Amino acid sequence: MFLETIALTKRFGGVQAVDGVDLTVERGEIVGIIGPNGSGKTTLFNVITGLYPADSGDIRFGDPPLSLTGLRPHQVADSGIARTFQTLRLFPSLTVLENVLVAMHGRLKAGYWRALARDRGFREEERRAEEKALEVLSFFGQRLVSMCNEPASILSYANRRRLEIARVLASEAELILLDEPAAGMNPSETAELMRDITRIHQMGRTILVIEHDMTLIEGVTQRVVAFDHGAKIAEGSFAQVRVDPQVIDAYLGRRHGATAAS
Amino acid sequence: MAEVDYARQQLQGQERRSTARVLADRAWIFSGTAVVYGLVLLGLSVEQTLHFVLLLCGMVVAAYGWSRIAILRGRTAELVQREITFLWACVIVGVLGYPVLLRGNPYLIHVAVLAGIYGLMAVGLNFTLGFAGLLDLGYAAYFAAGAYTSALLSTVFGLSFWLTLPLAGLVAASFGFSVAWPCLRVHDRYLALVTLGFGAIIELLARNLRPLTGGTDGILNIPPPAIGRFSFLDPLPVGPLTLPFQANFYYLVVALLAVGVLAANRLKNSRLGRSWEAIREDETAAACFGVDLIRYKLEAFMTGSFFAGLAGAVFGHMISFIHPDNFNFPVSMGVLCMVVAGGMGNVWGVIVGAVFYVFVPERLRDFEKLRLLLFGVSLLLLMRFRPSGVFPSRRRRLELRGEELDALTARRAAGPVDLAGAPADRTS
Repeated sequence: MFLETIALTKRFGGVQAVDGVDLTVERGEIVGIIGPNGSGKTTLFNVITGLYPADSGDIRFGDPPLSLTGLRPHQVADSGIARTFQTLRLFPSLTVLENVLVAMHGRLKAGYWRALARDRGFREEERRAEEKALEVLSFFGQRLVSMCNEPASILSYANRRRLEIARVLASEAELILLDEPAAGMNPSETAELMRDITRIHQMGRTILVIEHDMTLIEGVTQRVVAFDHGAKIAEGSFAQVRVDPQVIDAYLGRRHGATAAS
Repeated sequence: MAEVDYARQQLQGQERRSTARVLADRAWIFSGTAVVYGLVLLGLSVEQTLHFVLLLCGMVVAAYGWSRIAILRGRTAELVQREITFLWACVIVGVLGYPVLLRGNPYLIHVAVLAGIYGLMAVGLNFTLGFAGLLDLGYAAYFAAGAYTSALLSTVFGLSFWLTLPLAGLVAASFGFSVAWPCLRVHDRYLALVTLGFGAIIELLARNLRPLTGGTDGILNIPPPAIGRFSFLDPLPVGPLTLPFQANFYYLVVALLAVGVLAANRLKNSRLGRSWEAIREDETAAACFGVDLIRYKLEAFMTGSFFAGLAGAVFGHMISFIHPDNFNFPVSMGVLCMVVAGGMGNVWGVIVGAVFYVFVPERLRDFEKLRLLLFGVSLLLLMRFRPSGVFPSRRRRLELRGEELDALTARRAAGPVDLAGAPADRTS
C-alpha cells in the first residue's frame, strides 16, 4: 500500500464533504477519480495535501507508511506528494523557469546565510537547479522551454496547465495528484495531455487523477474510483464503474436506472 | 538536449563586439549618466522654487516621452545590458563624488544622509512588502527600536557605535520576530491592521516609558560615531580637499545601503527569495511545493526590521537627539510610499523613491501649506498611471502591459515550437 486513507472524513458545517473514505493506491498505479460536481473529489485532495485538516480518519503514505494527518501542507509536500490545481495556481509574475525552481524547494539545501555568502557550493547548486528545471521544462518539448524567461502570466491556457504539471515533475514527488488536468482543453490538447500523463507514469510515478473527461479516464487510468456526496460509491476498472448502477444514478439521477440501489 | 541548449543561449544572450563599438557604447553610457547627474545637481542647487518645479516637470515629461518611444527605450535597454559593469562604475563614481561636488553646501549633504537613512528603511520594507508581499503599516516601530537601542547602549553603557549598530539591527529584528510570530495567522488587511496597532504601541511606549526612553524629553547627547580619534563630527580630509562633517555620515549610509542592496539581490536570486515571491503570488500553491510559510514569513519580517534598526541607529547618532515624534505613524506611511511608488520588489526603485520623498518636499519649502496637497496629488497620479511604481521590477512590467505581451506571445507561437504534430495552442 502506497497511499491509504482510512475512514477519512471532512465536514463543512452540516455538509459531509468527505465521508468515511477508504481509498488505497498501490505504488506505480494510475487511479482515476470521477464523480459529479460537488461530490468531494477536490476536497479529498485538499485533505490529503494538508490544506484542510481531516475531522477524523487517517492518511498513510509511503514505504514504510507514515501518517499524514496533522501535517502542514509543506510537510506533506516534503514527504513526497505534489499536486496540480483545478483552478490554476501558478505564480503569475514569476518567470516560467522560476515557477519550476520554486517547486524544487525540497531538493535544494542552501539556506539564508549561504544565499548571502553566495559561495561556490551555492552557485553550483543554483546552476544545477537551473539545468534541472530546463530539463523538466523540456518534457513538453519547446512549448515551455522557449518561454522560460517570460512571466507565467503570459502563457496560453494550455501551457499554463502544462507548467502546473512541470512544477509537479520538478518536485520529484513520488505521488502526483492531478486535479482536472484536461479542464478547458480542446480534444487535441487533451490527447497530447494523455500521452504526457502516460509518459509520467512510465517514469515510475504514482498518479491519482480527478477528471470529468471520460476519454482521458478511460485512456490513461488503470482503476477508477467513483464518488458521490463525499462517499466512495464504486471502484474497479473503467468498464465496470461505467455500468455501475450507483454511478449512473449519481450522474443521471435516481429515476434513470431500474436497478438503483438504496 | 537541443531544447536545453537553446534555452541556455536565451538566458545568457552574449555577443562579441569590436573595440570601437565598445568605446562608443561606453561614451553613450557616460554621457547619459553625466546628463542625468548634472540635471539632478542642477535641481538641487537652483534657488527659486519655481525653477525647481519647472525642471522637475521637464524631467518627468522627458522620462515619460523616452519611455513611450519604443525604439529609444529598446536601444537604451540593450545598451545598458551590454555595458552594465561600466554603468555601475559611472553610478558609483557619481554617488561617491556627491559630497565632493557639494562640499560648499553641507545642508544638501545632510538631506542626502536623511534620504539614505530612509532609503535603508525602504530597502528593508522591500523585503517584507516587495518580496514576500506582507503589508506592514507599523514599520517605524523597528526604526524606533534600533534608534533607542543604539542611543541607550551608547549613552548609558558608553558602548562604541560600531558595536551598538549591529546590536540595534538585531534588537529591531527581534521586534520584527515578536510582531510577526502572532500575526502570521492573519492575512492581508488583517495583517496590516495588526502591524498598524503594533506601530502605535511602540510609539506610545517611547512616549510614556519615561525611565527607559526619557518620554517626551527624548534622549539627548547621543555621541557621534568615531574611528579611533577621528570623530564623525570632524571635517573629512580627502586629499587636498576638506569635506564638511556630514560627508562622514554620507559615506557611512552609502556603505550600509550597499550592504542592503547586496543582501536584497543575493537573497532574491536564491531559494529564499523565490519562496518569498511565491508566497506573495500564491501562498497556498507555495505551501503545496514545500515552502514553510511561517518560517519564510518570519525571515522576511526579521530581515526587513534588521535594516530599519540599522537606519534608526545611524539616525540617532547623526542627529544626536531622538524623540518619539521621529517614529510616529507618518514615518511608516512615508516608507510605505517610497516602496510602493518606487516600485515594489525593485531595490533600486525603492531607493530612488526614498531620495525623491526626502528631497522634493525639501525643495518645495516655499509652498509650506501646499506641500502635503501636492504630495497627495502626485501619489494619486502615480497610482493612476504607473500602478506598480515608477520603476517596477522587470517581471512586473511585463505583467501589466497587455497588448505588448499578446503580440509577443503571438510571435512566439508562430515560431518553430510545435512538437509531435500537435496543433499550436489557442492563445488565452
